[in-house]
Amino acid sequence: MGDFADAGTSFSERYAWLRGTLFVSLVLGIMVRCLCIPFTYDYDMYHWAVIIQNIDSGNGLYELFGYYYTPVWGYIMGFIDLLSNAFLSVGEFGTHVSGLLTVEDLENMRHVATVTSPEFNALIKVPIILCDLLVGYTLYRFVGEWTGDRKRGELALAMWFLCPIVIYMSSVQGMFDSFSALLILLSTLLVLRRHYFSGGFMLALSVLLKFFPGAVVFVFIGVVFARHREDGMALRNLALAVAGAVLCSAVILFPNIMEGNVADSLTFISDRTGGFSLNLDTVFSMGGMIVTLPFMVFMGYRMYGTREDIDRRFLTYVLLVLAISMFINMGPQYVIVLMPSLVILICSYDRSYTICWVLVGFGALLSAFTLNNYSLLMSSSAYLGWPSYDVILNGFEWTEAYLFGTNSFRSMMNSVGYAFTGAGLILIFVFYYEDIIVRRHPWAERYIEKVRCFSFRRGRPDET
Amino acid sequence: MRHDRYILVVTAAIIAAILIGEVYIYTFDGDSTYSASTSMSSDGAEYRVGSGISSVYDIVVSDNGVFSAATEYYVYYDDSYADALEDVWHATGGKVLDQGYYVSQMLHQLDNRGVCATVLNASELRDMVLSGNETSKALVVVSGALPGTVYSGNAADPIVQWINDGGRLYWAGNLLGAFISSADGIATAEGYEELFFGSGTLNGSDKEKAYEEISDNGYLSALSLMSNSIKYSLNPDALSVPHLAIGYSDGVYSSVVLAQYGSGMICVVGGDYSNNQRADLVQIISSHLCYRSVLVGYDGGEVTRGTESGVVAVAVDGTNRYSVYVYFGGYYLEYARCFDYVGIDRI
Repeated sequence: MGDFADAGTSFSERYAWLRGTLFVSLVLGIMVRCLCIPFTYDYDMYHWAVIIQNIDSGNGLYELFGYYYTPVWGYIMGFIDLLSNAFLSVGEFGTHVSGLLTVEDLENMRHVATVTSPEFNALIKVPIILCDLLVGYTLYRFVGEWTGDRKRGELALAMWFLCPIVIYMSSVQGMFDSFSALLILLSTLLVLRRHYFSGGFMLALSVLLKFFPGAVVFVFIGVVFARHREDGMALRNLALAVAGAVLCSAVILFPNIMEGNVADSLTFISDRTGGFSLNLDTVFSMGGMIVTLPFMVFMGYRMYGTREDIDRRFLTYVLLVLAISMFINMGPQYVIVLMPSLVILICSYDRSYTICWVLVGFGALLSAFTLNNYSLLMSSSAYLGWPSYDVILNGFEWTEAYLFGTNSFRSMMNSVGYAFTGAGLILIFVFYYEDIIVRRHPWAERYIEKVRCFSFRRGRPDET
Repeated sequence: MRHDRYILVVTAAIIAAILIGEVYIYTFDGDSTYSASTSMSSDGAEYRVGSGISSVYDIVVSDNGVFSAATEYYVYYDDSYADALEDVWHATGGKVLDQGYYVSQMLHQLDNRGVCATVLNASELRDMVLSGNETSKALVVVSGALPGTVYSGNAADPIVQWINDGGRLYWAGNLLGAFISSADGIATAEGYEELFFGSGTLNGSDKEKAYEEISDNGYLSALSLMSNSIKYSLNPDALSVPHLAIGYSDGVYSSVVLAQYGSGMICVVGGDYSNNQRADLVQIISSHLCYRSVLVGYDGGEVTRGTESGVVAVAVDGTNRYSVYVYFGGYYLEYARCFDYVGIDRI
């Protein structure tokens, strides 16, 4: 904070840090999150309670229904459960509310009338919020050191910690994508710092938490070769990374291997990719995979061929492959995994990408909010007496009513949210490949520059 | 370098937390975490519960009249025989709730409640129903159909005689007795309704859900029941035998009905497969509920890393049978045990 013991320093000078971006971001971010904790998406939180229930009945993660992911999130919940059981008093996880039974009959969305208690909601959300803080602090330190400018580090923390979808997922929906973002951020920074074994370990950990970080594999391989093209250490370092990944997988999947239920730990992926049926979701997913998989390989190849500015290209390519992976399965929470990379790009190299941050952050928020709908009030209604059940049921009635065809208000607003999110993701590529686009279509430059000007600073990259 | 150290420290801390969580999950032992003991006296049911973590607990005391609880539990499951189950929705990413998975889940849930059940195939089921000792046995059938080895739709069938002679049948999945299964498929049993409780007693309509609580007997909240499915369920008002309806009702059908059949009992849990349905089914089995059961006492609370004790005031009849069902976790049940008494004497 500097020396401020000088008797002649004014109050505002001594306490200027209170007005600083870092302090304001932290206070505002924590305040907003605390205010949001009482509002909870019933369906996901119900399943987190079932998982804790299964742990506390000695059935592990996969013996009983309720856990549909690879093990890492379950282990994180196990750690939370350990701390809760050792130090806290959260006995009641939830209650079944007869007055809300009809929510289970809704056609297009999944809800349960077994709502979780405020204590349980806080038990799950506080660790995720702490993870938000950890990601933010890591970005603050990294960007500050990377650019040599502490103010940029503060901006990085602010952009992450005050990102609407990040706030929503940790403090409202209670989804663990911040952990996914933390793990991929750490693996990226470890590889950036040439810690290949631990980088490979963390990459495997992040993939075993959520699948999307797997998109960076080819870029990671490419950067190892690009960096060690001259010193002949590429294969050795790659082997170190692979060894780390294999060790991680073995340790994490050890219980599943011993119990013979590795397949159970992968049902989240196999269930979504198996059993083909032709619908818009499937077409979108298949189309997404046809585009994204070759692009990921291509970016790995470009990384491999990079000879200058390797680190900057690495950080940028990580963002690009994570962004393209969103088109395989666009859910509002999934975009969180790319937010740290986007923030690094904005704060370190090119602030015109801020418009992408705005579109993705707010678009995903809109989608998530409309998908969760009036269920956000169910826990509060059951435990705090507000609002009444009728408010919730009437709310579902008008938001889920078909307005034309099979489109409801909720589905239309969700589509609007997806449109904004998709636009933000596409803009990332438009900005990055602007030179190529403009070379072929010179008329596009004017429009792209106009969009860039929506960001905080005008102008082209590095004019910050 | 400082930043390198920070990243490595954070990485190590995250990995440590995850590994600690992994070890905790796979070393957690329910039997050493929870404890429950009860005794009956002229004051009522005395209980002592203990938990090594923080748990809500419930004590449910039922007067079961002269109806004795089963001591042997069997589950019929034969994947070489057809079932009569409807497709059920399953959560994206979750396993398909087919009969095999349902049964495996049910066995684990019963085990958590201190009930050890044996799985029987069609041939073994026949052996069991013909082996006698009916009043000590309970059979769970969730295939929606009875196998041809024990059932053909007639009163003289082994399974029908078995129930009539004292067996307890717990049924879910389709209309009671409507279908006969074999390795080749399903056949419809003629006159199945009349064989059991009479025409018009089963819900063969498209009514699937009920929303009114059956609150007069107290079991809905006492046992933390959740399922409101009434598809295939019984109409208690159409029954001419002693019965107990619990759960939810639409004014006609109830989500769970336990009814006398000869010297035995049939319990029908309504609905297609669901997790809530299965949770209710295992809860009813484990609490030793019967068609005569009356909720005579209830207590509950929270115990945190210690023990709690109390007395549920009950006017004990020396000739009646009582079950004291203790469970931890409420709607998220983690552990349970049931204690049976004749008067104040533990069975």
